[in-house]
Amino acid sequence: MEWRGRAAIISALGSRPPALEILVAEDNDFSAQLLSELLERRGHRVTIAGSGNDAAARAMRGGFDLLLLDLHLPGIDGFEVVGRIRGRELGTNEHLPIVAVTARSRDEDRLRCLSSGMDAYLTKPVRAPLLWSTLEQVLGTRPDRIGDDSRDGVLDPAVLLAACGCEPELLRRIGQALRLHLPEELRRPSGPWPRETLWGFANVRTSSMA
Amino acid sequence: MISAVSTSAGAIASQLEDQAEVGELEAANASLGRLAVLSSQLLSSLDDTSVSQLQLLLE
Repeated sequence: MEWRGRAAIISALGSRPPALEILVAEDNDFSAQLLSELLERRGHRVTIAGSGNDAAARAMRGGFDLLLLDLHLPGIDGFEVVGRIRGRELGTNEHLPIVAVTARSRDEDRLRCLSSGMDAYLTKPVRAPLLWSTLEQVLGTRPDRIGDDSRDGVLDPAVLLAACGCEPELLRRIGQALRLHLPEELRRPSGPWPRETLWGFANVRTSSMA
Repeated sequence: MISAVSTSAGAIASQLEDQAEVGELEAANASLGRLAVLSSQLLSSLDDTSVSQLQLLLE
């Protein structure tokens, strides 16, 4: 697999939106056409995959900056597509940004998407402004972002500021405490993990990992 | 713990605990992978983030 990577995207960005290679996994011709026209008007190049297997195969061959993924696809569904892609990425520094596109809008649907390895979640019908802001968010091209690499978006500014009371020293201590108490398995991305490790997380509630 | 700094990471941590508790090991493995990536990013981001940068993000 070869992703272009966010750093390459950002370096090519300048002050204009970059032209991206976008894989759209959508089996409905009408929806696929709408998304394609929206994206191509912004200068992006779009490849359509009409099934889950096709989407997974194309994504894993590489060359895409982003995958827009309908969850209900012929063959394997969107979750299985993500599982295969993320499985291939384990132990590497590669990460293909994946945005779910679905008619489902419940909180548990959103949570399931994020926990399965998707980076963001859009509900149908897709609204153009939300599509653009989501792409900027997952690709790290928002002008108000911190830094210049792929680490942004994981911090929750409102939650962190509330936790530290806007005190720099307390913010530093929160970082230290997290580093100290985070389970070893979470400090460096690797895997797959042995059963013993996974079972250990079943007993972690008492230590309040979440 | 993680939810104190990241809502999305906290949600995935909760899900991981649920999956591990009921023996959904394959799903738990996927969640753990996702959480490990997020946690690594969190630690790096926290090292480089100041109160003023966080406040800017909220504006």
